[in-house]
Amino acid sequence: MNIKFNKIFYFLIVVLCLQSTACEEDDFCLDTTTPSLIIRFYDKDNPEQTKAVTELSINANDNIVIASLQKTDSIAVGLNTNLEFTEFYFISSEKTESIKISYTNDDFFVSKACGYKSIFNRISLENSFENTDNIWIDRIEIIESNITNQLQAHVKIFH
Amino acid sequence: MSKYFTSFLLFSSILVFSQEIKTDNESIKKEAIQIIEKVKTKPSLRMGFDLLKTTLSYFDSTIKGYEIVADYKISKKRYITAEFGYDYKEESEDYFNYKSEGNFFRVGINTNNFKNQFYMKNEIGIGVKYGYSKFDKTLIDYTVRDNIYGDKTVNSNTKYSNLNAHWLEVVMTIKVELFKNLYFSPNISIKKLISSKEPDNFSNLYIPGFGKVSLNKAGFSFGYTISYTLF
Repeated sequence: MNIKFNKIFYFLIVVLCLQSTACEEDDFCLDTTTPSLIIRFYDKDNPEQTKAVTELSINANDNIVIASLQKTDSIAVGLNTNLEFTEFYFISSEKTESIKISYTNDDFFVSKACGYKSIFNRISLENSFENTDNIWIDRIEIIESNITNQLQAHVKIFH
Repeated sequence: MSKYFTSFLLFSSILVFSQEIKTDNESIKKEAIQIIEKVKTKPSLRMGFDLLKTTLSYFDSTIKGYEIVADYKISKKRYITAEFGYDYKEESEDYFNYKSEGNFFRVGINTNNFKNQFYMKNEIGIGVKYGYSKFDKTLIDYTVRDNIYGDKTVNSNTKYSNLNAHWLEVVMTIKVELFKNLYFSPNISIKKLISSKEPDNFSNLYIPGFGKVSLNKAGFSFGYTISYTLF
């Protein structure tokens, strides 16, 4: 009886050790977190048609390089979660236009591994340029003013 | 002559006495078994406390808590168990820190499946319990990751009050009688949440009395209790 008791006792200890490691939850963040702003570029003369931008580079304030691409018709740019606006410099073929995007910020709980994400509400745009020679953007249209996911474009830029 | 007589008398009396023991052996055994059975089925109350929680409270400043345990014997193999306690725990995740604080209780039935030799009172039991917890949660701070502009850390200090949870658990217990009436008992339990009141924009990742809640609303815990038979 004592041997049986011991056996069960040690078996329990082994199970205990195995269980305490096996029960640890996954610590990798695999969920989608803070969404980026998705911009699609369209033809200003043919608004239904996308039109690729050549030699596009986007910088944010404080000289942060967001993107530098040879040719693209859509791009995802991250918005600053620390502020209520982000200023971008859209440069295409050495023509620079600045776009200031303002928004309100809300944080939502995602999961244990990911923590919180930010979403951006009621975005508004302000387009400015130093001189008329630098203009390459014709007009900007907001399709979705609340940025909660990255499933579709939020902003259309016609050029 | 009288000397011989006395010694004979003494000798014969021993003989007679030993004969009596022999003949009564069976009935004594029966009586003993009856007494043991009576002791085994006699209702008894045992009370104690959770050793692990109490010890950790001393050494770890992020943990505070106690748990009082009791069981009452209702038949040879069955016990009604009851526990109540208080639990405070600070948890630090990768991107947020929070604390949980609350009171809980559990009630259940435990069965002893271990056949002791007649003089031993050890137990190996399996039991089922229902648990309830009423607690508060405080989100201390969180960090929204931002690879471009830098992470945003918010000291929110948001308190979520009056949260609660119901759960069921299966407990496996070993009770070893260390000294007379004093038991040491390691136990493991597997738990499953029935329902819980979740905080807005946060999650019940830890529930006092339940422990960490996994993705499938299950939990696992182990502990050690020390208990003493009062009667």
